[in-house]
Amino acid sequence: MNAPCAAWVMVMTSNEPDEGFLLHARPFRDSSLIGEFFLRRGGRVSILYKHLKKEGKAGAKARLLQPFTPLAVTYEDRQELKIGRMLEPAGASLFLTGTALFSGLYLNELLVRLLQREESLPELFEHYRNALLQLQDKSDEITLRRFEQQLLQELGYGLVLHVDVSGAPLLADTWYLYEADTGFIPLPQQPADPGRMRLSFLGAHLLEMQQRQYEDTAVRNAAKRLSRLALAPHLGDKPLKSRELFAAFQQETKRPS
Amino acid sequence: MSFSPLTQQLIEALTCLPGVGPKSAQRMALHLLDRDRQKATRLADVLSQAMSKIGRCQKCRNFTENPVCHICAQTSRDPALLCVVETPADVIAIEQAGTYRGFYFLLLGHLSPIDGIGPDDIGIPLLDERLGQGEVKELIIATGTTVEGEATAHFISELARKHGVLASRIAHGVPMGGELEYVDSNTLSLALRGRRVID
Repeated sequence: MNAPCAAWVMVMTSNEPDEGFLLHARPFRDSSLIGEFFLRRGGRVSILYKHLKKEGKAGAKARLLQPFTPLAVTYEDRQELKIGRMLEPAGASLFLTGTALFSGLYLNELLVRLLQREESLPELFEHYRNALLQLQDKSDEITLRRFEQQLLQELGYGLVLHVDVSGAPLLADTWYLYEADTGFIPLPQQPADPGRMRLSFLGAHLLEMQQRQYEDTAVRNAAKRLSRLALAPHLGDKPLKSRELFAAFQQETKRPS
Repeated sequence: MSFSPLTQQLIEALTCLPGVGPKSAQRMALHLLDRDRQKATRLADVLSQAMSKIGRCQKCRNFTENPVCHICAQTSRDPALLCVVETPADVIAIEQAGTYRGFYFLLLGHLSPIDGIGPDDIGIPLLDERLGQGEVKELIIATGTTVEGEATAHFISELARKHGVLASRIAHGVPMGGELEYVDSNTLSLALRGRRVID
């Protein structure tokens, strides 16, 4: 299941398989499909699979093209679009069920929206794989919060969570105002205005996030709010659909029967 | 050489069919004009009627020219059973299997957040209403075994739970006459997970 090589290289030869996951697939013409992949070495790539059959043994390839399945792929490189060649399972499929499935779809949407094409991000890939493994065992918010921070970090938008704008260490009992381009501005007290409160964070929570400690519910909620604020400028105007879907799903589960 | 404007329009219109490119469309158009005017006129007539008259069944969302489709209109079926499928072709497949005697509900798709397809796009409000009427006792969820199909199934099972309706998922596993050696590993692990006691 692990990568066949120790050093990660950008050079892609078509006969050396890369390991990765399908993030999303869309049908193309009658029997073809374009898969958006996140590959360990290749980063995010679009691969075209032609003449896929749906039935019988010939349909095995089509059935394999599912998210959350570790795959070994080779492809023919033709500028932006690549033509799929070998496609084999590279380990057992991850079975995400229930809430974990929605969480997995959320991670995939984040990656599809945020990853630049063909940027090799082997560490982020490892974080993604670990996040999926954790979701398979137990669906919890901690996995999502941790991954959001790792994603921001790996994409170069990482948040400085231990010092304020002036470079002074954060104080646990001080409230800070988050400003996207500058950082955390210390406030004399907790803001009363809800609009400002939405952008404010308690020092203690930020320090916990810095340590990637999300056990406390208040820290998790703060991390969720902060990730949204930090991701928003990169996601643009279009809202994340998986987030809306998850909210709708939670609405269903919470309503009394 | 180019065709007359109307011939060209016909060719272009035919390319809307799946698997039909410009070359096949040209062949079809010429065939209709040259060989089979009568049948072509009938095709045009039926197509136009179908497009204006066929709508969705108010109960199951299948295609029909009546307010309620012929399956939903049958009184011999068991109203306590409702099977949720993705497409009209799925209804035909289950009907051909011949063992199911309940009603259907068609989603005409599945949840797919990246494609922007949410609960409202697959008729969940109508299903909610149907379950709220209290006649359905068991909801059989027969969405595809894709990741999106599973997410859809899970979403719908919560909806059923809310209404106190039993939700079941069709079994996944080894096909009839299949040898284990040739079954893909995903299906095989699902079959093992879904194993049952022999009674």
